[in-house]
Amino acid sequence: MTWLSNLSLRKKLMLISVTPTLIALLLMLGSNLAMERYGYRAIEKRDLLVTAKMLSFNIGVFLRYEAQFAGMTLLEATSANPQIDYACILDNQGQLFSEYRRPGSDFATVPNQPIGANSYFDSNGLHVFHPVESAGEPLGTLYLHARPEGYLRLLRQEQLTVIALLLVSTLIALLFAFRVQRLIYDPITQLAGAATTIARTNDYSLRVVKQGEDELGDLVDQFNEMLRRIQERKSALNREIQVREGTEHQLMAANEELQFEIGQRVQAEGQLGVLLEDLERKNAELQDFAYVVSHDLKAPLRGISSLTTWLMKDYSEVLDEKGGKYLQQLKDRTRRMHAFIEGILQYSRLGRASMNMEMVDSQQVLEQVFETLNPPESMRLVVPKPLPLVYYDKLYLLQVFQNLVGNALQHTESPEGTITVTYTHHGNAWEFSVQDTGVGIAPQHHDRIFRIFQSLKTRQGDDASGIGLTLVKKIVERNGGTIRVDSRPGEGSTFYFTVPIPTGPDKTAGTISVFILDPNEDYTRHTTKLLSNLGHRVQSAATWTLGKSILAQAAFAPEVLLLDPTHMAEDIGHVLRELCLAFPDVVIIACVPASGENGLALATYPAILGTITKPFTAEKMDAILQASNHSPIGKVQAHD
Amino acid sequence: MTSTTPILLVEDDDVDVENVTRAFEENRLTNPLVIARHGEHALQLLSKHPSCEEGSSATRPGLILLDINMPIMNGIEFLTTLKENPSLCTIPVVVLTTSQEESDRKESFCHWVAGYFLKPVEYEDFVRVIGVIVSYWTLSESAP
Repeated sequence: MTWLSNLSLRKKLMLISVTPTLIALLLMLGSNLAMERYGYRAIEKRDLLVTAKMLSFNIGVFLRYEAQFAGMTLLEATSANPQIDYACILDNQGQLFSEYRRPGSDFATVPNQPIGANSYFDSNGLHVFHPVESAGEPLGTLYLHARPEGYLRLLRQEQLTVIALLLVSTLIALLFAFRVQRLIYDPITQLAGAATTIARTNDYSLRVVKQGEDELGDLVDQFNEMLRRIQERKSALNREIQVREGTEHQLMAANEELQFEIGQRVQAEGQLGVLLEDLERKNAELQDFAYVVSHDLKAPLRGISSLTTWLMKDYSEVLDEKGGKYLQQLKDRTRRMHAFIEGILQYSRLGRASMNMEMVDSQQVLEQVFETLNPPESMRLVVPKPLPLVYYDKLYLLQVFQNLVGNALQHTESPEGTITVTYTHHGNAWEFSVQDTGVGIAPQHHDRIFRIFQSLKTRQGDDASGIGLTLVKKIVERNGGTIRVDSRPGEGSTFYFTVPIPTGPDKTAGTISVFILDPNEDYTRHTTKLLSNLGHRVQSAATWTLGKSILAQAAFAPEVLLLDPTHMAEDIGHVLRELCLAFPDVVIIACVPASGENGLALATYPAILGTITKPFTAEKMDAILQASNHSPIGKVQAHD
Repeated sequence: MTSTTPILLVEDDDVDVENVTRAFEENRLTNPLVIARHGEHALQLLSKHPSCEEGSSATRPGLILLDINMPIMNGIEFLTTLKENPSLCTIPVVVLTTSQEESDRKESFCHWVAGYFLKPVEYEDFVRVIGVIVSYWTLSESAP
């Protein structure tokens, strides 16, 4: 039945509509044929028998009286029946009495009457015999013959009619089927066509025309609705795609631009590199030049100085007052020139020498400087809070303070004065300030003072080379800091300079292994995170017993141990003894809570290198760690 | 070293020679002062040892005052040669220079100098420095 399945819908529909009609018609045809075959013969036979009976009833008289003509006339009446083409009357002897022959009939002879039957069909047609009687006396036999084609013709006519009917009804059925199948098929075809078109063209604006309110109508509605939604989505998608394409386009453009810029930058960097190299070389040359020249200048200058002195010494009697004054002036100028040259030498040496960075106690450096400068008794140095540890070349820091404090001393004219040195914490740098109560500097000179050889004082009797602040600026800037001045005439001056705080292990000695021994888990977590962020390795435990086992298992030799001695479950003395035995080189720093009543007392244990107050910042922690790592001699104290 | 042991001054600058000479006078130092103008000159003088005839004494110098920056043979080169010589290497050498170069200082001490002095700018300071140096070495025993 696959052929049925593969038939087009149109043909299937046609088949559905036409098949019943065809079957009905064929059945009708069959029944007709059957009826004709068996029904019409019986009717014809009955007709002829009735005719024969009626005729023989009348013919009896004619036969009795041998009225042949009358008999013939009567027989002629049979011509009314078109089937009959021959009729005759036979007497008892079988002699023909009278006969009727339809004109054009080809009837030959009267057959013998079969015994026991008065009618039969054969190929020549229907033969009917009927006895002719008169008053109960047999007189002869009436014979009627119908042409075989008579009923056959009828039969054919009937058949033709049936076929015609069949054809007509089939045609009607076809038309109807065609109409019906169009009603069903057209919407489906349209749907299918629309689907195919859409599949091919992707045109979702297509709509199928609805042809009725039946299920197909619903289907069309749904189909159209589906198309509408798809179209909506597609247009939304298209918009999205457009937006994305736009973005992509922009991105590509930006990328191209970026690539171009990168190219340019690389080129520029290359050029810059060459320029920088050139600059560095020239700078080095210049520094060498400055150094060599100033060095070579110094020797003759010393000679001039010596010679002037000898002249003054040996020829004092010969010289008059004016001559002595000139020589004195010459000596002063020589001295000043020497100071200049010394300044240039220092300045150029700054660029040449490498820096020896370490953790320096700036408080200590400042105190040392103040002592060296040998200030008058009336001058006071005020340091409101202890200065922090900084990562610096100690000699340079010394020079910075020396120049700034020296300047402050120099520019304080009144016998009494105060120099205040303090600091603030600015992000990732310390900002130091050196404030004096001196003469102050007019704002228009604020830039000038940092330039080389720009002393604001008159030259008379002054050894200042004017290089001090230039030197300070160079040192501060070489260490990644900045310097500025805040001053008004008569109100004193404040110099500010910054010192960067090393934040990562890159700038410092590197990664340190730290072990935290503290029952406070929050604190431990916080500190661990803090130290890990600084690039250190951290392990921790809440008790020493636990800590011991951790340290025994892990391949972790602590360099620094942070310990809260105030909350230890174990005896602190015992813990420290064991610790020092296990790790003789470990640096122990006590981390005491701000409210720890006996924290400082505990921190006096000789094994504890320093104390630090909780909570602390990353910078402070790192400074402490680096300090402990750099110089494990002496106690470390964190200042707040 | 005694107050009559000669002292060798290796110095190219006339004023500095004068400086030292005057400082000797002002400090009333009696040691004969032998002058060499550069390293090679000094070596020549020393090779005539023990005569050292430029000075009045025939003994070898008890102290060498050495400048660094000199023509022909500078102080460091002189030191190198001197300290390689077994008979001369025991003479104490004191550097008297204007050079503040770290390398000069380092090399000098590597060659076993007994002191490194920057020439003072002021004449009075110069006199004082020379006085201290010479009186120190006058008190010190010489190498056998």
